[in-house]
Amino acid sequence: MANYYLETSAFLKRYKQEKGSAFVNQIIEDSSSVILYLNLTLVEVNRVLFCLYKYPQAIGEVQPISKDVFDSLIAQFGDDLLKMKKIVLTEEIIKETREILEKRYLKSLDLLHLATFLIVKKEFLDVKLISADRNIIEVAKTFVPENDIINPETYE
Amino acid sequence: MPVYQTAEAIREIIIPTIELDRKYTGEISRRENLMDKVKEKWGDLLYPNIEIIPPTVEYPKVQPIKEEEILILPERLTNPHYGSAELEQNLKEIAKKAPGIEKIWEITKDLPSLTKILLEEREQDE
Repeated sequence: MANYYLETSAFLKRYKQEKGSAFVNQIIEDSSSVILYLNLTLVEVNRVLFCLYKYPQAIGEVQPISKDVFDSLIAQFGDDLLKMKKIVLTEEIIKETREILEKRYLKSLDLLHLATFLIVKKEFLDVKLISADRNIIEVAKTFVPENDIINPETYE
Repeated sequence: MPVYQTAEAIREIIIPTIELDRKYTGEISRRENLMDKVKEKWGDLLYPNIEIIPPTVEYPKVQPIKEEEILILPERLTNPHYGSAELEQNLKEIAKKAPGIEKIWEITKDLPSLTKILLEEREQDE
């Protein structure tokens, strides 16, 4: 059984076939994997999907998606979440962001994801960080061995 | 049990017993010695008729907190799990319409990378 912390940038690869999608798909479909996600991931994924549906101007010249497509994406996302373990943003995680900032700089959401992963790792030593965000990956290497970090884009 | 605070109060109690002692036992001197010892040890407490100098330090007056100034935050602002049951229920409802990942990949075939959209937003933030 493998444990993974699925950061949003990797999570989104589930919904569009691209570099790294096969790996993300594989771990989500693998019933022996335990996948953990931070509840803030809901905000981030919803924001991306709403941008495609209602606010395409916020992301450049993109043709907006229809309500049916939007509903399908939201439904699939909801279905996937039910198979995973949700981590609630706690004050310990907020405190951990300061420990990271003592050594390295990251933006707020990146900080929260990395801090969450580091807290998860204190409970589950074998957990691996799945992320496609180079900033998070680079800073994470300061705190954990490189083989605890997986960039799904490097798997294909 | 009475607390004797003045010499008069002490005398009122002790003198009659001295008289009784004189009458029946003749042990006056022992009682008088006892009274002297009491005075020696507790004199200042038993005879409080001394001038009490009030303290010269003025302590700041503490303003009592008015009831309306105490703000107690409701649970929805302090409990990170507040609303989770509704969110879970909502997810279960929408998940019923999940089309499956093959269908999702088909309908997002012409869309830009969602990961890229997220990462660009993250870069723009702050």
